[in-house]
Amino acid sequence: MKKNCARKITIVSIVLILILVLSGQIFAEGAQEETEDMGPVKFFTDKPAWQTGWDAVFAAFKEETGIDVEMTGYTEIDTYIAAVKTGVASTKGPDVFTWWSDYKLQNLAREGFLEDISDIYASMPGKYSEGMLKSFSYDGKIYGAPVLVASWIMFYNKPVFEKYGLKEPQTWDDFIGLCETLKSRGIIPIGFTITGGWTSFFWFQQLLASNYPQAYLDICGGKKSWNSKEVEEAFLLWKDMLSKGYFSDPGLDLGQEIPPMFAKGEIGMTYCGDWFTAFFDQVDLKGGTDYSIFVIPPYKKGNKKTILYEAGPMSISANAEHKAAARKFVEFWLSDKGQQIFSDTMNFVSPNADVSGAKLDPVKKKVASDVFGDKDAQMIVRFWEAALESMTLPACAAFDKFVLDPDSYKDVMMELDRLSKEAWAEYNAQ
Amino acid sequence: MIQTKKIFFKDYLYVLPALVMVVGFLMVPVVSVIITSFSKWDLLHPMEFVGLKNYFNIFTDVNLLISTRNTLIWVGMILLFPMVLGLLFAVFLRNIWFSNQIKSIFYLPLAMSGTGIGIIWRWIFTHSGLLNSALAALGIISEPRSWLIMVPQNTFAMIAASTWQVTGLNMVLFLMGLQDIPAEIIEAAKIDGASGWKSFTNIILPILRPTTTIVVILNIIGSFKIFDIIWPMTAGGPARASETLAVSMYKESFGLFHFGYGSAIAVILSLIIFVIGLAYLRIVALEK
Repeated sequence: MKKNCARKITIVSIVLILILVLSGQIFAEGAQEETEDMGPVKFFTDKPAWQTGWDAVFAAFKEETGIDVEMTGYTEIDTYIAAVKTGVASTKGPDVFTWWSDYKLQNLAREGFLEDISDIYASMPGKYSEGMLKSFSYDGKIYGAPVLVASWIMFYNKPVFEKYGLKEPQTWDDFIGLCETLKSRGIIPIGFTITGGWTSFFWFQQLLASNYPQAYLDICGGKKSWNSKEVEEAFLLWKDMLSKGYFSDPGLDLGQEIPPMFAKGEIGMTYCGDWFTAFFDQVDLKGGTDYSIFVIPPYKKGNKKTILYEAGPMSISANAEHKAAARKFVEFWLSDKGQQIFSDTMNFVSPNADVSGAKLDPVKKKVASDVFGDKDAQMIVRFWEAALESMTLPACAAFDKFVLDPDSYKDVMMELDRLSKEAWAEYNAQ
Repeated sequence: MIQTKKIFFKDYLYVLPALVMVVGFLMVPVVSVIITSFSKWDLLHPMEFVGLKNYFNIFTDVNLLISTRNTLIWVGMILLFPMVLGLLFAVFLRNIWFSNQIKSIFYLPLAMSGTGIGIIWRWIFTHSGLLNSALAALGIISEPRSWLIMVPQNTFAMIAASTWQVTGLNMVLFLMGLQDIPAEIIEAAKIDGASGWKSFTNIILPILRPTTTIVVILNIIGSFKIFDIIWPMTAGGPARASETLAVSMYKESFGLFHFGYGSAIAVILSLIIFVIGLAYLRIVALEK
């Protein structure tokens, strides 16, 4: 009798506990649905050097919404890409992360790892150029918010140009004349590098895209062979410039050696994305006083002014743990307020048309007017994003080979063609 | 009466932490790398079984042939320089009065990380680096050179950095071997009229043979694994010309996201090191 009673009490207790646990779970879920997602937003970036800008935006976002943003910065690109690619497959990865446009973004979007943010843009019409948003789109949906929109331009040493009475070139012949003058004065005309494994594409993209923009896009898009007369012409032009001694030793370090040599007047010009000004800041060069910029004219006469650009976005992971908070953050980032704070703190030209550039330095103002503000100029996405992800690094290794042995350009073209065919076959098979 | 000791469940708990660590941090990664080596995987798409394709590709990949050649250069050069230098330093420093201080100086680089050493030596070999300044001051060169993009000079530059690090360890190992040589033998040889060189070649070197074997094997293993010095100095460039097998393994996996292929290289590399390691253990066991 006693045994039966004890058994009944045990069963009833278990049932009661189960009811309590389950109801608690249900109520908790219900409560969670009703509670606002307060983050914190996990933010991954390969640009930790922009800490001041990030901090300013995070603080303003926190003040407006009460949500914290926790940043994880990576300085090693390979490690960063691996961390994001493994992270976006689960909720343990980043909620928001900085990335690259075009094929690199499409790679993630087509596997369903990115959150569609078209609706955020719908609430702010006209603020962002549709051309740029195409770089962040896949299958008609937008997956990225611009972090950096940089143009690829030539920086020149102003005191050196003034000393020798040099002016910004309007034609290719003017540009070559500049190089000859600088060389005759014992100044290296162009600071140039192939170090780091990724820098050798700079001049190839400029020479091909400014002279044959459609061929450049078709070649990068796998619609045209690398074994073409346009590519050959670009290589021959580059080879000619190399043989004439217009470029510095290709072993110079991009960030550590070119800026100090430029500051000392040993180098007259250098070609890079406009984010290169951050390296000039490190050697105390002032935009507008110590250096300025121009767009390299095309070799082919009659061609439009063509400027390579890169548009680096931030995206939300489709598996984000705090997706609602992440969406709020991206919305704030795109707003006039968020963009103004970042632009003012970092001295970057904002892609938001309603953001004032009054606080930008003279060089960045020139970028805003002569590059992004020139309606006749043709903007083309740079090679790093225009080509397939699996193609970019091997192509850079091939460009390295060319720079070290310019006579090998035909072999390099064959190699690039093979690499491109392999990369596209793999991409299409996926 | 024989009493068998009863082993309780709780006895196993004592080895559990070590077991968990070995399984979690050694066995699971090893098995997962082996499985991955038979597949095609880029982190984004599901793993696809490709059989032995990755292993066959290793033998036809031009970049891998270059890394294999570079790895063999590393092995040869590391056996030649840090080992010979380590032996010479050990012999010469053995009997001088301030040898302890000098030994510490030679041993110091070993306390630094390979990456740190790579960064220091990169600044010696860069265009604006110490080497160019020194050579220019001595009038040997008129224009600075970018040693790290010159092939194969860049590989030798990195071997120099590694030599700086490894020589100290080799020296300490040889010093330990030298301590085992009884002073009476050397004294007796001297009395019999053996010169310093004769004593070295006929007495010291033969007695040091077991130590030398261990140093050789440790250096071979170190050369096959070399990555940390190369990455900050050249990252395997330019045009992948200074890669070793370990760098290729990393680049294929984390640069090009060919995780299957990178894993196949890792398996081959591990097998080579495993065989050399076995030889090392056998020698140590035989000595005992």
